[in-house]
Amino acid sequence: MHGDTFLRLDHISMTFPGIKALDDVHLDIREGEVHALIGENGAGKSTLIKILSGVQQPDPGSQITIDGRQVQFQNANDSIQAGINAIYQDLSLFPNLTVAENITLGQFKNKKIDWKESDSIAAEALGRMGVRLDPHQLLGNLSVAKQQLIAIARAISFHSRLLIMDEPTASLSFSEVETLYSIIEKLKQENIAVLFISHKLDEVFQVSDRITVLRDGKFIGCEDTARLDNNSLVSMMVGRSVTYIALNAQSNVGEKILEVKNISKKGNYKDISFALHKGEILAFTGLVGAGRSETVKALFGLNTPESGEIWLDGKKVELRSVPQALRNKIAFIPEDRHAEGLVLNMSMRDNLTISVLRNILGRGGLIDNNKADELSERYVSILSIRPSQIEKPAKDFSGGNQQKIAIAKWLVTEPDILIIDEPTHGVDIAAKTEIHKLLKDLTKTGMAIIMVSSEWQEVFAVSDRVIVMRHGRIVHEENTVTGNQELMMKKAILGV
Amino acid sequence: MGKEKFRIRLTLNQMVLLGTLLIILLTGTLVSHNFLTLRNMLSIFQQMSEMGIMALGLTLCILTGGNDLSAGTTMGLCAVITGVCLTSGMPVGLAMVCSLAVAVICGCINALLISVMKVPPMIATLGTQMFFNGVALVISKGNSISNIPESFYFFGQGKVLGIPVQAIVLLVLTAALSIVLKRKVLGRYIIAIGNNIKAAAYAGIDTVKVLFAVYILCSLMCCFAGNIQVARVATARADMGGVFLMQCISAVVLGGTSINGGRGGVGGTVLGVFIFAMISNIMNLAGASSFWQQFATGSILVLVVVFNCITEMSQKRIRVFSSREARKLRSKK
Amino acid sequence: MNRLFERREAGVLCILLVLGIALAVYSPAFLTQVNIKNILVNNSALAIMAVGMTLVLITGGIDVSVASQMMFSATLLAEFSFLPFANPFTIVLAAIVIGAVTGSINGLLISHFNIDPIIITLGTNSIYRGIILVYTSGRWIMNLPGWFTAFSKTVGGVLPLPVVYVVLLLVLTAYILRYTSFGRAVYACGGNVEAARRAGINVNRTIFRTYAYTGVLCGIAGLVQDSILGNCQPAGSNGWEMNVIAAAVIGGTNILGGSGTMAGTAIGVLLMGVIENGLVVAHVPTYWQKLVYGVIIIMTVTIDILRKNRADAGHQLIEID
Repeated sequence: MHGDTFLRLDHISMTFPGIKALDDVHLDIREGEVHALIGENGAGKSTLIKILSGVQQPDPGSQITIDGRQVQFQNANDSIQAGINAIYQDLSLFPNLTVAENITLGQFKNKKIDWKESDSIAAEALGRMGVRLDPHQLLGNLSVAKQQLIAIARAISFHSRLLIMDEPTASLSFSEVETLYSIIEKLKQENIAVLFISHKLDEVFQVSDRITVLRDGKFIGCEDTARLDNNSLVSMMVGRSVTYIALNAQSNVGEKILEVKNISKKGNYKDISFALHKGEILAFTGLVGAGRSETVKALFGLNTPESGEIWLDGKKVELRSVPQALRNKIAFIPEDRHAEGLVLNMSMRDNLTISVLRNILGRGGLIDNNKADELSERYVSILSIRPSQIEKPAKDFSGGNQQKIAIAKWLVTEPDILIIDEPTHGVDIAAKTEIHKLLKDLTKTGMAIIMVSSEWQEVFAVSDRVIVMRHGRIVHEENTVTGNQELMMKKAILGV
Repeated sequence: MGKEKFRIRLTLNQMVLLGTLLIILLTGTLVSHNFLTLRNMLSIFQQMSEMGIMALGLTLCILTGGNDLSAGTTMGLCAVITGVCLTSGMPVGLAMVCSLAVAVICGCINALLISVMKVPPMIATLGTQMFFNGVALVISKGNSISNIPESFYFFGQGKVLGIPVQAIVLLVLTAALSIVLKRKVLGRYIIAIGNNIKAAAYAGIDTVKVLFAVYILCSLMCCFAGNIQVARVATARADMGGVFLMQCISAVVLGGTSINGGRGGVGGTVLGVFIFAMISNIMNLAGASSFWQQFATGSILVLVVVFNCITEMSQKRIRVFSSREARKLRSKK
Repeated sequence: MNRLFERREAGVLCILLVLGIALAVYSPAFLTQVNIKNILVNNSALAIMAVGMTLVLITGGIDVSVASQMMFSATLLAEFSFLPFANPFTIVLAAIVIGAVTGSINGLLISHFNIDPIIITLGTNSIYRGIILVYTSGRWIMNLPGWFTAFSKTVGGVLPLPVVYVVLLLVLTAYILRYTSFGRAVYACGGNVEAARRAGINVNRTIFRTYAYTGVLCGIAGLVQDSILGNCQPAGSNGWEMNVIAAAVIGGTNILGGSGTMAGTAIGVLLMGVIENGLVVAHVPTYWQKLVYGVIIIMTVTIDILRKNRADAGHQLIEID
């Protein structure tokens, strides 16, 4: 669907003290089109979105043109008045308000709020989306997926011309993603444009009409989706073609170390059984919402099974708490390193040593700072963490180095089993390869690794064996190197 | 100790604090030539000790991102327990053990509500504040308990080598807690929890145990403060410590501990308490009515906090610059 | 809305009714006109402050300076009432202006500098109290003029005016909360402040107005308190801020922000007043009062939290085949 261009951003620059987050960026949106905005982390996508939604003011010289007229957004309100509504990754909704109010909040400025009208506006928006929900329930009681739908309903009830969606499918299950696609289709039919940010290339190809690529704050190009394929798109994003070296060509797999027998937990996972061997990299894959993280957390005392058994080194174990898992030499690196993996305000050294403090005590039971320094410096060099200042707070490191710190923190505990959830999420290409090599090197010492990953390329290049999960169950299991890759992907998506 | 690197790095906040301290010292000497005398200083230390000890305990709670609004009434309850025990003929040691035991129970109640049942600290301790006060009032029937035996006076009125006992207690506790926070595992866990309790749990820290330790320690501090005051004024009343609470929290924040937790220490707290105590002392010396004190402490708190905020805002911009730029340079290689 | 009522506020109301009935049965002195009037009148100032506190709590903030603001206003008004141009109209105006000033200072410091409300209000609490103590040297201001105390007279022997003021303010604030964009902004800021910003709400202005409004209410509370007592004790009402917070929290206001109602707060104030009165009527020594308050708060909050924890855990994560 190609309408006329109604929104243009030209010469958009955004300079923060010392850095140009955006440098002469261009973007144009046509009526009713689905336009994808792609780029690696740090490419400037979020900044561009903030400028479009009026939350951020661009540098002078930046031009925003709507219907041929130049406009300026002083604040979020101006942007909303111009018909631009953004749905952020964190949804930006109000759990303490009703569904109806979440949809209509802000529509009754400077006049008495008419609750009947609010209800009808909400009902209309939900109806247009084909969603059935009680508008009087509190938003906080709904699942994330339903909240996402409410966020969209809110945006469309504001008579948008452009809907910006930032990583909309991040927390959706397969069927919910399908619902989202059909809603986007409906929006197209109503001539509402959608600006769609995603790092999932398969979704981008499925849904978008055109793709704009940013890299390092610069505009790389804008193409019709039909004219691009995976490789060319990745080239634009990264500046070079990317293939991961098949590290799994060489196998370090040894004897069995872990056996999981029929563990289940209501609402999390059901009937999970698998084995793990020393020196093996076992990948858990599947779509978001398949239950992979929930399952592997069970091995770390975070999501204890209600039934079933876990056997470690031929002995049955209980993993009811994190300290118990630690004692059993299991380590877990969570997906969200900001909220769960690292204590950002603490120094790298303190983060690295936090789980092994009892091992570096000196006289009088006090923490021996020299031992702490030594330990930190050792792992800094093993993992090539840059910069190497151990006093620097963790939040001052780049995504890739933060991930290395998160990994190092657990390597310090010298685990037998390392579970890592999305090892290269939010990490640039160079660091990704480093981390893959690191994981492979660890297996040489006999460490067993469970890797949860949503990136098929990564799975196919690094893992020895793949377990596919869907809807909380294991649907497929196979050796990566000898197995049927297409079948694995199909099982994840379709389960057939 | 080996090659311990001795680092003195002062944050801006600490500099502001020291600056305030110097200004007040200067004001004091201008107001009265008696101000900087040893005798006067010792008197200040004596008066500030009770509040200081309570503030130490509060620092721990606030560092974990929590708070203990029941600190004041815990002090009152412990004072009453000691009073009742002493006047019923119990030996000093046993009476103190009783009040320590009660303090531990108070701390456990707080910790149970906060760490196990996940009640927000403010509201949990608001409830226990009233409850402990209620218990103290019921036990004492709302009366003051006098006839405290002289053998007990030492803790509040005694001196060792010329230094008031409570000041020594304060110094010892400050040193001990400072070591715990900087060099003990518990201290590191406290800071981690205050910064990000989820990450702390994921790292294997038993957050429930740590919070129990923190709230029990705080209640114990209040118990010490209560016993000292009873020894000093030879009376025990349920409302002892009530007025201290807000001043203590103010002192903790003034001293550089973030109200959200994760940052700060006991040294700053003692400095904050010292500043407030000096203000009150200067006012006495100047013959100003004690009514000026409240105004002064409130004003200083607001001024320092606002000033810190302004400087922090400008500092943040510089930090953002350097880290982002460094990242950009690195990724360009 | 109906659903809400089925839960929190109704629960507290039940407790209030049960307690009231129990007391009425236990002692005939309880349900007398005089006694009920006393309960209502003695808690009027508290109720007015609790209205403001509810708003502040909804935004996720807190104001521990309310008692001092009230006494600040009460002291100034008491002095003011002796001046030649003082009359019912000017004194009401003065109450509002004084309250607006004290509240606005809080609001400005909190919203502009983004400093934690508890710190700022801890400081201003001491400042306001300190100012009036210095000004009066703690001296009571006695024998307030008759036209001033007339503000709290009982109309027709039945209806005490302070109750009328409380009800009016409750209704006014309930209207503001439900039907104005400012009111909804208060809830929004308390629910998700970043989302509120992105939705175009001026968060700073909303927060400022919340504290300013609370200040005005404290100013009015000072007027009411003066007229009820007929005198002003600058060092009095110490610690009232805790009772105000307790009343709001018992009435269902979430201390973390995001929810709270006028009805709930009103019931909370009443409940605390009835308990206090009940203890007297039952000849229980007043020193049991704090204990009872404490137990009630702990119980109320525990039930709230347990319910919330159960709801959180019950959220199904994955749809399993």
